[in-house]
Amino acid sequence: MTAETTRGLLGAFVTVPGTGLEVMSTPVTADAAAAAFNALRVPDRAGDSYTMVNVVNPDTAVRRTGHGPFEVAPGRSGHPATGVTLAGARAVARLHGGRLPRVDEWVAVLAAGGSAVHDLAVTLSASSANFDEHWGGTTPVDRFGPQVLGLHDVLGNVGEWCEPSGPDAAAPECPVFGGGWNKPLPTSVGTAVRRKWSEFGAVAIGFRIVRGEL
Amino acid sequence: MTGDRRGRPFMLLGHHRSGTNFLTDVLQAHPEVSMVDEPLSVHTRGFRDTDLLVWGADQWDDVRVHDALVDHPMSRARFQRLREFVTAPGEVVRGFKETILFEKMPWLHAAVPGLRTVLVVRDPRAVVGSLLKHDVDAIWEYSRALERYVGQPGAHRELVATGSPLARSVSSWRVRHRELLGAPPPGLRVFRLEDLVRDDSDVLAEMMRHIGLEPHEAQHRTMKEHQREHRGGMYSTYRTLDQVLNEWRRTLRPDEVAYVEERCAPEMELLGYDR
Repeated sequence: MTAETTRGLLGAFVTVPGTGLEVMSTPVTADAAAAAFNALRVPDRAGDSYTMVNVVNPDTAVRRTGHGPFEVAPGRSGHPATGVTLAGARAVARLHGGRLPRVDEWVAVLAAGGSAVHDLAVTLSASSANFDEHWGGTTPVDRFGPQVLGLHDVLGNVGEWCEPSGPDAAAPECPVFGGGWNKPLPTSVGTAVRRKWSEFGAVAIGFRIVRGEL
Repeated sequence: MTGDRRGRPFMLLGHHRSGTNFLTDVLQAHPEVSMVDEPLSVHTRGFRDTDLLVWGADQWDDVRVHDALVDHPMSRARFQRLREFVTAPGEVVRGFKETILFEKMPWLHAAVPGLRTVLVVRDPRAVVGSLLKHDVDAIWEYSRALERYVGQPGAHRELVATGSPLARSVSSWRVRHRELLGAPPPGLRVFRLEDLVRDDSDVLAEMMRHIGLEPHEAQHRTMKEHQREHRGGMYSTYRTLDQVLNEWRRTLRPDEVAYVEERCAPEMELLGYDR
């Protein structure tokens, strides 16, 4: 599958009003990520460790058996791509002409939607968002309605890799925004941002692609 | 927050299905704790492929890490990264959670001097009940690990039976605890999950002081919140007290209970579990 055809697996992009920033309406799905890693010919195999996709943990949405192609785990089609490292997320974003968002951009996106983390959080419940293990794992990226500006899963489902910036740019731990299916619903920017080892692909961390600038 | 926390690395260690996910959430609820979750067992192949291979202190090498990892350069790199993380200076206490490494403690202490270990144990009947319910034996390849174990000189082969998932689950539990508790490393404290969930105040305080901190109110809130109802899937940290203590009574057959009690009798007595 080529990069061109994998593009068809990405969701729509939403233009943030008053800015030049376009944001994917959902986190990247496992389907789109697996196709992208195959197009990129990522070398990670079920051998030693990994650089872009956690091929050791059987519970991630993107997986690979030995030297075979990357695949979507059974039952995870349409779910966020978990098990992807920061490097893997960046590679997929670049393949599709984009990049990862920064934390300040997430704050701006919410503000453009007339909201802040707390304002958004109080509108959500276990029936309208995926957090605090109410759903036992990830849910399809369009399972719940959009939360702000037509964007799904801004809070909950998966935390999303952010491009580090500022004084923390060189730190080995990178910001992840938005909580996750197994985390409490964030109620502030402070609780919405966790710092995780960038080289780890985890079961509750995904990513989405942005284009342009604020 | 006061001062430099360097030199206070800790590990939360527990057998699969012993409450380690729950305890990780409780520990991380403290604002001065920073942890990495299973950096070796779910993020490297090298450490999974050497599970239950005993490593001695003299086998630690600052460059090679261990001879068994010669073909696993990324596993070596991940371990070195972990060492750097847990010994980094700063104002938080740094640690990691693992479900392997029971039999590698002398090596681990040579690699990370001053490591404090919080070993969480759980009634083996509850552990085995959960292992069987969730097919953990297959997921974690106990058969292969136990085969590696019995092939070593000095192995406690009398602890190992591999004819069924029940036998392998019991063997995994016995071997890991025997290897660790038979020669306890410095800085080890043992905590029973049941004691923590029944009455968190004193037990949590002891645990936190062992890693150099006082308990935080957020940890008590986390514990209370996570015990209000059963929620989530296999790795969920939301379990009621009754589920934690008694689920095995509903899932294990009488013959399975008898098997566990008979095989684990010495360890149950050591850890204070009545049969």
